[in-house]
Amino acid sequence: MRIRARYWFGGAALLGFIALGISALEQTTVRYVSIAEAVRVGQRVQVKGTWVRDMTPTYDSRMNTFRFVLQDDRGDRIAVVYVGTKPNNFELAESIVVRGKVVGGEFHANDILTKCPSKYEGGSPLPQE
Amino acid sequence: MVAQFLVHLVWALAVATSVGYVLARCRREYIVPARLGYTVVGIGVSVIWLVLLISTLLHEFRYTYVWSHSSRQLPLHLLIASSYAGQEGSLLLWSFWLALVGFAVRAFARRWGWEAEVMSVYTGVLAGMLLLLVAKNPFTFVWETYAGQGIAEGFQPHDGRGLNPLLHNYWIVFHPPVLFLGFTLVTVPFALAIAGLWRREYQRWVIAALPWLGGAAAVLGLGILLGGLWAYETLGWGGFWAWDPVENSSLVPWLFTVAVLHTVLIQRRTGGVVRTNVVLTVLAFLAVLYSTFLTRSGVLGDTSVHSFVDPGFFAYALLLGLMVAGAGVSAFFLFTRWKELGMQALVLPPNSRELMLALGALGLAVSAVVVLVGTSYPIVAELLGRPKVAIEQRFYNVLHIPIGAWILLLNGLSLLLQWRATPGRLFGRRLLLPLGVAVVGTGSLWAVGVRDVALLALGSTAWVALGINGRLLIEHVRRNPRMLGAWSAHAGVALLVLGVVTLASLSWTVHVRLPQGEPVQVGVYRLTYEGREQIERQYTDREKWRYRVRVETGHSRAELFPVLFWSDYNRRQAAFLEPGIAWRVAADLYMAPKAVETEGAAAELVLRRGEIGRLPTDSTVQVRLLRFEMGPVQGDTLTLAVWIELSSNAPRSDTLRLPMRMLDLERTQPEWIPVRDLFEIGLLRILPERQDIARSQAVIGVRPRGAREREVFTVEFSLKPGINLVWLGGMLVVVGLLWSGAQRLRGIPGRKLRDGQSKRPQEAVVTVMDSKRVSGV
Repeated sequence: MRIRARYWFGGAALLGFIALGISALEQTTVRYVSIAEAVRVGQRVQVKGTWVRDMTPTYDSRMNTFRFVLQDDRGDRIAVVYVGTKPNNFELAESIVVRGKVVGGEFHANDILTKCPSKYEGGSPLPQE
Repeated sequence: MVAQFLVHLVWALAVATSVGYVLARCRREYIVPARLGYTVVGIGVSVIWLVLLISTLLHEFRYTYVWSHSSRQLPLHLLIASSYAGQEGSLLLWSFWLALVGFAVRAFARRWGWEAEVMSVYTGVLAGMLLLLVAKNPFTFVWETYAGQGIAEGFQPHDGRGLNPLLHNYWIVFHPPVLFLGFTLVTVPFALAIAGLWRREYQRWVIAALPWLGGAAAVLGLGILLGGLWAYETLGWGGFWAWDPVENSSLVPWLFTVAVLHTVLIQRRTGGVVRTNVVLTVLAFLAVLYSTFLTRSGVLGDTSVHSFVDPGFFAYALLLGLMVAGAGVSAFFLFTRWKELGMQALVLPPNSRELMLALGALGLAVSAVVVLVGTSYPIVAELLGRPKVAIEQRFYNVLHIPIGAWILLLNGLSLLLQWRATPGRLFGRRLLLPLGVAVVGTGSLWAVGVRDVALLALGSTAWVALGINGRLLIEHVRRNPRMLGAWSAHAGVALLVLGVVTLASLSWTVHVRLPQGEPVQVGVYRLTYEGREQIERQYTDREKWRYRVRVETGHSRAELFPVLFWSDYNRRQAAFLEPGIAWRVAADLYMAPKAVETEGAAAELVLRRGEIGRLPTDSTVQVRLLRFEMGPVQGDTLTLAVWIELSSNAPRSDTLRLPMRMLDLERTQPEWIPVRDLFEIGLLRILPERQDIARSQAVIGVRPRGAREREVFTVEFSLKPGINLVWLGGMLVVVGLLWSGAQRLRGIPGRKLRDGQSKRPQEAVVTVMDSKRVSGV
């Protein structure tokens, strides 16, 4: 009987942990969506796109905010506000992933991921003669 | 050509050697050529590595790899590092380690009498790695890579593209080689486990694997730790650990290795948990392959801060193929031997060390699975056709509080309890001191300001573990130095967790603007930005500025040196930022640079061409923007100018030219033009309009004569208490693992045995077990 009790206990603990794991997974999963979808849901999401080079990004050192305009695959644009400075490699980035949510028509980002041709592989692929 | 061909040749030889070793298992005469084959392969890989290193040192830019990752303007240590900074080079470094360690493995396996099996597996792994090198050959010429661009054969670019400034850090000299050596060492227990299955010797492989497991865990752990130090010292990588997929994928093999390191001890003692050990060892190795796949195939492109570029379909398929092959071979041996593996009934008494070891290893394995799930979930979701997702760091943090507490309790209990059974009174007496330590320690955590209940609970378990291991370390070190490794590693884990708890609860960060020369008070700290100086002036491909900030409290002072690094690598479009750190015992002062601006007393006026505005300082004066003027270009700097017309009520008007030097896209230097002894006027910057350049705007500044402008250095200033506990704990873990790995070498015979002849096992239980072997399958 003692052995059996031990198994019951172990099984219950395992199930409990799995439940905790699944709930943590669900709570911390952030979906990739389009800008239109991000505006619609207003929840924490991720948007992948490129930054619009016509609109010069600005950094406000008093407010510590970095602003730029993001354009997604569908061609929609949205202003992104990020608390922090311009991330390293921002200029080189071929695409940008922002994580956050839309508040009042602006995307408030907590994280910016710059996706470069590669951080290890370097910039332009043209040897100059 | 020669070098490219050499890679192919050595790969073919490695395959032949591996096959030769397989044949040598049945026919002894093959062992000599196979052995010779390995010698040639080992030397061949070393030669290939040397050729790449020398080509890098001699700036042979006709090789695409050398051209892509280095330049003439690199100091020697970074030049050497550039030889493994990219995909091909790092694969080659890894192969080189495999080849080198292989000589030691061969000698070891020969003494153990398992040379044929061990070396056929090991050389097979090396052959797989070399196959990747065949696909991603580091000696491809630029005219081959860019075949479409009509580059003449034999063309040698004058200079290379250089090394990414983010990698310009001395840790790149240490971290990748150590990490790859760790991955290499994980291969050895795997080869021994498969050899054990192959020979149906399910007990002896464990003794042979123990020192290698210790070594692999120590070296891989050191590699991870160095990676953390590197991340801490370089910005944008999120402290010392960010649960990034690349970081995770080196952690998972480590967790499995450490788990099996503990369960192997149970098997050595009791003969049980045979299946667990084989499975965990195989998993550790497969995790290495999986991590290679994840980080090099480009599948994690959108979720990692430092994943590699997409290597192309062929390399992708190859990586996948290698992983499947590794899993297939392991699965074959596991399935054909599965029944025999379960022969020994497992007895784990409740108050025994073996049970605690098993439960602790379970905790480590669960942690590995959690990290694996978190890292793979985005890919799995995508494969299942569900919407693309990402996992936040919080996932790992939340789950690792209970896992960490579990591991820490068993970390202590496993050493507190004795093998088989521990008398209750002894147990109680031994637990008294650690519990006392935990109460006092947790109280002190509360006292310094830790308020989160979960973190306090985690901290209390760390104190229990620290109490138990600290007492053992102090009281028994003379009597039992062999256990020093375990105690130090276990105490190290506890210290590391205490460091993390402290850091998570007590560190703070503030955003401060520091006008030059003007002290700014932040809490008890008084920050003064004193000035900057240009460093590394011998290199013309960069402009690197070191900013000096003085930090004072009532009784102490420190100087911090954050760095802004403008590099040709990104055409100086933006600076790479490096933090300034003052290392302190209790808490580091950490300053991340954010921005540099010049703040003048100038008032601004924005105008388009033809527009008229009024001076902000004197509204009776009208300003009209006449036209823009481009050039001239002097060296790297372009001079832009605007022509303006100033007019007041008087009929007379002045036409002025306001030039401005563009140092790069973000920094400009206006020339101030005095007007009638009253004020100065200058062009601050131009806001370009891409669609219609004529509609660009000019920002014109006006200031009183003689006003001086000053620089404002914007930083994020933080206090990092407990960070040194993280480093200290990590080092103790590494040293402890090394020590215990070295102790386990004692079980290994020192003299060479003739091939195929097994040495009689030394430990009684092992003898019993091996005699129980069954034949069949």
